[in-house]
Amino acid sequence: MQSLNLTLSDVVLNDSSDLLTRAQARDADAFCDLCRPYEDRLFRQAAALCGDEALAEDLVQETLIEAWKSLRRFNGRCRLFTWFCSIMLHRYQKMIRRKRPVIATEDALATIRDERPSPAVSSETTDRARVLQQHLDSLPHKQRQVVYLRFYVDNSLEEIAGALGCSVGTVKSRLFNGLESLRKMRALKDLNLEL
Amino acid sequence: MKPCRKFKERIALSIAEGESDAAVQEHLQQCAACRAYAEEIRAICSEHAQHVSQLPQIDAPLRLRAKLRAALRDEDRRWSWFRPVVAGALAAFVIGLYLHWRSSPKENSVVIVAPPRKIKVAEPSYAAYRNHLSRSAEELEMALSRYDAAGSASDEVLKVSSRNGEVQ
Repeated sequence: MQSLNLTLSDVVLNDSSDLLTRAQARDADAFCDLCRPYEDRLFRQAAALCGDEALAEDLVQETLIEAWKSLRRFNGRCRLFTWFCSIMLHRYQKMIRRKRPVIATEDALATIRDERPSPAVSSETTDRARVLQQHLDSLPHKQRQVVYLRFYVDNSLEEIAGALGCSVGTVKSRLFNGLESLRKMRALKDLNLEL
Repeated sequence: MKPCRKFKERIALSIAEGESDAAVQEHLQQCAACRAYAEEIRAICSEHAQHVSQLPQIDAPLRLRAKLRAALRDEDRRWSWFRPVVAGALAAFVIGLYLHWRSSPKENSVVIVAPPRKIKVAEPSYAAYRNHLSRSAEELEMALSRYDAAGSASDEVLKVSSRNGEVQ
């Protein structure tokens, strides 16, 4: 009788795996249905990266098209959302290289926050968010990927390794170097404030 | 004071992963520099965790779904003519390669053709001509003398035969 007691997550997993199989067989409708549960989360992550809703929309669309093209390479070593985020970081890197305005401006962040029914956000919080985003953007691409997936997507190191196609040792090394870089940037910022 | 190089990475990773490391904990109790380093790493991790929690809870616009469907359709349309063309070109290449291999001469019927030799004929000089003639005359004389020597032997035969009364 225990085998009949399927949990909701089991049902969702079964449906997702069926959708994934059909999407990998180039069924565009199955792919769109597969992406639906992740669209909002992906959009929030993109908005945090870009600091602008219009850019976030473009970034999400580019991410999902890229995911569609390379869906056959998804090997299940990580969650689908993690894989989407790793693609999104790669597209974000290309966006930075094209020198589009991606650094979160105070006005853009304020616009995003003001439109929502949320508690008032102090300017200090906005400044801190902007500084953190700038620090993230200053990291080398490979370190940024690992730091972002660890802290912003809350993935384990094994899952990050699966998403990036590298070993756990490599992920640990990049995470450590990323934290060291952030620590130095933070120390420099504190020194500037003191001066 | 700088943290201990041996423990620095382990400290950072144990904090970032949120996993306790007994050896690291023991060391932190004894080393002030490493404790200060651990505090810095904890501050960075908590700043970013706080930043994540303060991200606006916005939803993706509905038009994103429609744009994605349209983009996927365009992508498929772009590839729908490309694949048959590439497949056709590949097939033509393979067939051409096969026909070329079939028409090329076989290994057991090798025809060796000597390369044409260019014979350089130098125009003879008059001196060379005279030299050649003089050598020719000498060679002729020697040949005749050999003949004469051979002839004397045959003369003996003649004489013997004449003695026998037969002239040949």
